[in-house]
Amino acid sequence: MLKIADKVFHSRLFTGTGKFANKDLMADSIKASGSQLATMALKRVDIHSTDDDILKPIIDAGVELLPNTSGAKNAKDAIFAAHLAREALGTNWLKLEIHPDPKYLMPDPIETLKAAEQLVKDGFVIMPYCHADPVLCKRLEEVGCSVVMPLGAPIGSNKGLVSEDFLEIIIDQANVPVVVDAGIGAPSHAAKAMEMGADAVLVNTAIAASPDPVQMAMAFKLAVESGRMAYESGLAGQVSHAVASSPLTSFLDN
Amino acid sequence: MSSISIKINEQQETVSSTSTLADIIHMLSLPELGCVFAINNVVIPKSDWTSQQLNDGDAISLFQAIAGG
Repeated sequence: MLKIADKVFHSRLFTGTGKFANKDLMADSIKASGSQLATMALKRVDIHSTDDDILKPIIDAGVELLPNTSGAKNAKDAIFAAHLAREALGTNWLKLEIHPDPKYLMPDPIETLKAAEQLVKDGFVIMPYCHADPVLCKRLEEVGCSVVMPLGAPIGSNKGLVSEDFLEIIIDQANVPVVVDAGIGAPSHAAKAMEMGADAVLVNTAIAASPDPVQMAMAFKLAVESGRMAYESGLAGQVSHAVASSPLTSFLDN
Repeated sequence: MSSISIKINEQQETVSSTSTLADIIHMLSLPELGCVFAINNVVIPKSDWTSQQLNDGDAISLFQAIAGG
């Protein structure tokens, strides 16, 4: 079981709610994933064309809400967005994401650290989306973030664990749960992250953009469970020469 | 009953002079959960929605929770 702040999670797969073709598919996929925590965003309402209520299906599915600060370009923006989200959704949990450039959505480490420090003081449970930078992750932990969420690869890229060597260091050093966020494009990537000792993964695009998101959500559920089980079992180390697993008996008499 | 002109997210809207923030949510058929107002970049607590009277010329920001990663 995974404990973050005051909550215990049986599922180590967190999901995003974006990019699904419709809200029913989103709700069915989240249910199939077994996820207990799903991200959402805030948007200015266009009063002439209001959006669907996506909360009800998520709440009905028994999933906790994790509002994000998507759209925030600096710490000031993000802090305001956090307070909006807390009032809108009645939760002090927050996925802190600050990305000044929409092309790559790379998280701004300096603004993220600044915002995290303030928001922890304001009573938020902060889950920061950040680079796979071991020093930054330590600094985020030191200012009171409840987890760190380093990226596996550029967000939405589905490229997997491009940052593997750095994730290893982050996992080794962290005293808070490590959630690999962004870039996980296949269940095997999620399994790999879990085998490495990540505490959870956050997946959105790889599920939502699959032609069969419900089945893909199930595939991710199994991969995360499998990877975690492997980590807990302990992997048999790698060697560079053969070690026979059958007896090397001799058959013909010499 | 007189009416006043306000701006919601930069869009002009005419509402009754007795309107509150709660009335705006109702008027736009939005769910209460997931919506939040700010006036002059100050977040308005939900508990103030029914008491917060609007004045002619007010500019309100209104946000709603939507899908996102």
